Amino acid sequence: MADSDNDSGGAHNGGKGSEMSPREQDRFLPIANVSRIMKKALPANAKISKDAKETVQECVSEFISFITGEASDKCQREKRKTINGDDLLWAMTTLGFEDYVEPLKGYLQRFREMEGEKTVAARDKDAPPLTNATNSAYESANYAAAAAVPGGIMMHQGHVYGSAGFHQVAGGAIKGGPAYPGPGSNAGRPR
Amino acid sequence: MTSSNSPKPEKKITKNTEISKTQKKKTKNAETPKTEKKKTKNAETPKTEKKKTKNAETPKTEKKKNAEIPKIEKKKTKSAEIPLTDGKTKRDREIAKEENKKKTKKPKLSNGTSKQRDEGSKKGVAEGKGEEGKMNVFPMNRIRTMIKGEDPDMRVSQEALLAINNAVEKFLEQFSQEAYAFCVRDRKKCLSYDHLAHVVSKQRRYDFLSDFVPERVKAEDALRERSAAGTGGH
Repeated sequence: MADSDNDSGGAHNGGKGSEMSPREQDRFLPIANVSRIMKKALPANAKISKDAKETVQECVSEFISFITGEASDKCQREKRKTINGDDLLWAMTTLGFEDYVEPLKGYLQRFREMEGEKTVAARDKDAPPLTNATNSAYESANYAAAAAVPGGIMMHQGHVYGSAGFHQVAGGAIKGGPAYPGPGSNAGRPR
Repeated sequence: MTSSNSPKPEKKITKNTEISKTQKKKTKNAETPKTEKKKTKNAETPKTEKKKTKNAETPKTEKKKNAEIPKIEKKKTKSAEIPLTDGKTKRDREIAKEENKKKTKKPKLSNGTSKQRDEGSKKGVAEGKGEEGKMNVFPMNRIRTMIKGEDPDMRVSQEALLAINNAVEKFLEQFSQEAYAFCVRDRKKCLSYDHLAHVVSKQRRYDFLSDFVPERVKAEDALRERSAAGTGGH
């Protein structure tokens, strides 16, 4: 069983590697990181055996393959060549890890906001469906509020996203004639 | 003990690997509906709690937004540069405020939910501090390499790597805590392989890991059953 795993890993990762046992290392996440997260999740007096750490290291790799494989299949069915965050969230829901999805949406929101600062226009063009996912401004709480709102309003908020993001950024420095104040304020107040 | 999934066929050729993986996924998909049914019940409670707290936070944010909206000019390339900088500083402050709010809420929240939220706030701060700073627990290139190994033709977006990074951390925390529960039950000080094996064998969501820890589980259970029947435990 272990041998077949190594063969599989070697076949896929041909050519890449680090200083020590290149293929073996590339197949797993660093055991120090794995160990640190495990310790953080357990009581301070808990001890973890070395074989448990190594076993979990393998389990983590299998988890990534499991989720990514499902997301990859979905992309292929839809004839897309890039896996994005939503594909992974969908895969987790399908494979029994739906309780991971809500917190991850919060992280993806923050990430997209940072990207949005750079290229608001490009964001709207490149990823129209993602706009709905980023209705809320800063907190996942807003996302929950938006999710509770009927679909029609949600679509409306989606359209507002681009200008809303810019407004919030520009508010601190420049004062002048308002642009799109009506829809923005209307979207905010019902919440 | 219920029998675990059929053992993996030997993988020596890439094509065979892909075929076998597809087969596994199909079988696993067949199992999913049962898992979902069970978990929907469990999932309902924490979601309601989250929604309540989140709704409580909403009005403050709305006020801020309303204050900012009326005094804004239209989009302009030149003017956009300066406000972006200011926007970042503002966001950093607001993220810090969020962190304070979440900290004050710690006594209200109980069980695992509070832990997840606290960690979320920490990461939020990390992201706010700087784009170049380390936002994630695991090296991104390593994760990308592992995903590429899965399907070399598929591309992976930056946000997908971020999602995997965070999901792996949650997986690690949850898996470790569940294994530790068995460790406590056995009254042992050190978390070991056997406790991980128990978690895998007793929860359907971890069926995909059964290939890594199937036989030892059976052996351990068999031995304990015998010892329990014989002398009632050593």
